[in-house]
Amino acid sequence: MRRAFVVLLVLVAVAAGVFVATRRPKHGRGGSGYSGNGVVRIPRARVSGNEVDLQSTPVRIGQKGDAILLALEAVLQAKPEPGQPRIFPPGVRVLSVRVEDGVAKINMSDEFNQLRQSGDTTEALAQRALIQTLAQFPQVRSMLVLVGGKPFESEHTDWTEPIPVRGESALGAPQ
Amino acid sequence: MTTASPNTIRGVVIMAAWLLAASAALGAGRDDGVRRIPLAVGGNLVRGREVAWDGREVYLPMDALGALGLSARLSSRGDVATVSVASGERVRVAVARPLGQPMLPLSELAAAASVKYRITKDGCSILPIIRRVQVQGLRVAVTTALPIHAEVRPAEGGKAVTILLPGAALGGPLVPMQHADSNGVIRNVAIRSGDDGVRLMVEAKLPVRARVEPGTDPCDAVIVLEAAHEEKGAPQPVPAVQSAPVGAQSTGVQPGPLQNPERVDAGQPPTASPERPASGALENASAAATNTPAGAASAAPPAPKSSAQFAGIEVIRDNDAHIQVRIHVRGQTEAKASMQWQPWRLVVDLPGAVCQTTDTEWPVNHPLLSAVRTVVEGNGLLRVIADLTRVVGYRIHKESDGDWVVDLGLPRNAGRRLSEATVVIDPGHGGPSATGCWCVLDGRKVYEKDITLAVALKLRDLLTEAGANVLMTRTADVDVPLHSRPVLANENSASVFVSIHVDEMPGSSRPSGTTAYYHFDDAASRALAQSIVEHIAAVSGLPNRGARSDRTLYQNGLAVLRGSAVPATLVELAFLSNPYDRKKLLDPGFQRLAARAIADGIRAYLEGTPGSDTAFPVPLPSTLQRQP
Repeated sequence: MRRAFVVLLVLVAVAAGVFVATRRPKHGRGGSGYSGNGVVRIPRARVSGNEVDLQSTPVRIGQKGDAILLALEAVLQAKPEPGQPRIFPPGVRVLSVRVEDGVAKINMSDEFNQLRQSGDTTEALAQRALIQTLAQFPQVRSMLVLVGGKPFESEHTDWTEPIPVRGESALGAPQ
Repeated sequence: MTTASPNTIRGVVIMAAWLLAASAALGAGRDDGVRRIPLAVGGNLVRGREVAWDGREVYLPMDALGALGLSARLSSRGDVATVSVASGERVRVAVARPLGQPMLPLSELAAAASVKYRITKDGCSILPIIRRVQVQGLRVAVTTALPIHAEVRPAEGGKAVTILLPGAALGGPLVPMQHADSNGVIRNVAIRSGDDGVRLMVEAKLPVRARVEPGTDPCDAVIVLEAAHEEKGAPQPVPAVQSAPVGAQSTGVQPGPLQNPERVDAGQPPTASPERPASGALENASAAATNTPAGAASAAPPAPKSSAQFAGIEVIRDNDAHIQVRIHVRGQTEAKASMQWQPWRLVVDLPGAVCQTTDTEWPVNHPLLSAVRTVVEGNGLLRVIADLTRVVGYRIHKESDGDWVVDLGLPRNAGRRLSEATVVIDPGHGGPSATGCWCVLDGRKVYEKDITLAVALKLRDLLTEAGANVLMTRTADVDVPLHSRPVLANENSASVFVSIHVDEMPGSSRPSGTTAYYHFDDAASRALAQSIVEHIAAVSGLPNRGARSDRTLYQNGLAVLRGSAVPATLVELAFLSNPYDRKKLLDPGFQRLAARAIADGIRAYLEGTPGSDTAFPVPLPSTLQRQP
């Protein structure tokens, strides 16, 4: 009798656990902070008419490991949708990332330098994609992109100083 | 076998109770804030269909996708939907269940369906994007992403027609527009987006009247203009308002709005709803224009609220180089300012402002401004038009008493002859490591740095011939540090700094056209950028992407513009990734044309419009005359 009661209680506990797990949203909501649920919003380029902009989609990065690193890897390796452009150079990886005093210092592999051979539209999308990704992490206030340990040197804009990641939503929309 | 002790049983009971309580709390917490809201498409309420709104995202039920011209299939696990677009493209979208049933986030469907959306207190409004505007003779064909209504209204005494597309939106600042008015009746076609939809303003050289005809495609509307021939000197009256649904079939069926989305197959036009009056969108617009509660209560995109009264214009002359236009407004209204060319004018739109004055024109006697006038467009849009004598710098701000104040000024370093000016030309990139973007032509790489240098050298020759003092940041394929480029302009107190670049978007051949960037909101640089991009677009045959702040690109803006103390612009001539643009960029003839247009733009910035009060009455050298 007691054994049956224990089994019943265990079954109830398992059912409750399953209920909680199945009610977890499969889609990350909105574009605000990372909630620790293993889902981040990853921006991809999308051409609409004669304009190119970013559109974010939820991507599961898992809950094991450094979420910022996983999120950055996800945005770098995000496959473009059919017919849509790729933002980052193929093969680019994050070698390391650490956050110091709110500054995310991202050390990229050498492939990131191929952005120097891109137009303003592409490079701007790359910067904004990184910003939008990092803006989901409250502990990050700005980012500094390094290549081989040195600040990335662009042919268009200044990446050598930390770039704020807040207020990015004000960017992008053509005036 | 051991039996469980009472403590063990007690522990398991407590754990189970805690888990149950936690799961209940979590479950209840997730539904908090998720509510059902009405759905409207193209300004028309979709009855029987509601969407979920959690404060951040709109979720569409699977069976409501037809309203967007989409269809979807759920994966076997039910966590992903494959959405089919009318074009045949398929998009995989994660499924959410905010209300228990499978739903899709609208933010991920909007681009696929070429729509925008807006959340108001009345619900979710889906706004079909204007895909194309084609002017062929006296026919203006408008293609939208979804069938919507079109209305025509006369304006400016019959010499203009406003085509109102309620519930529509622009995909960007540029709409693909083809203009081939062989009759020469249409002077200008402008397109503007407002809270209530999109307006096409067709200006004619003589009084016209217009009617709406259905197009061959359900998403087409054709507006046919007819010259209102004068009989005994009097133009025929233009019909007050005409309306027809975009998509009305020639069979006489009134299909129009999306009332039965469940009956709509993907890629097919929605069927007609006998319940809906054909003029529903018009009723909404009219109600809003007259400020009746019916307009506010509609689920359509909100018409401008008429809470502001326009009391008149006051022009305050400061000096010959500066003038202030005060737009007296009482109440709350937004203002959108934009500069237009041919002729130069500044247009300030005040949606929803109600005229409290019968005055429509205010006399101005100023070197920069020839007149200020107002035009009341349909649906409560008040337009203030400042007719300019030349390209100017402007700033607009709102005073605490509700007035909008527009400061117009002669841009920095303007008001001088080109022959007295120092122009710094910056061919983008250069050297072995700073090639810029590139493409492969006949098996060899063609670099941006070579195209920019070719155009820059041609521009140098033209400006030098016109008597300007020209300085170049480079004249050969050498590396020039980015931050030293504007220093050349600053140290030489240059009149203007012009950087020449080429844009690209690898993986997409669609983006096309010319863009001129200015730094943040610098008014003089904006005027320079506007002058140059308009002159290029007038002769290049490429889309005009306009003058844009470099803030729209980068957090810090463009380095060469940020470092410039003189009026500066960075011109992206065209897209190397677009085959049509690329062909032009590599053509020396086009390079000469672009260089000449840039020179014309610089001259217009410095000297003003030929013949105007502020222009120097010097004839253009032959090398700067635009070729026919």
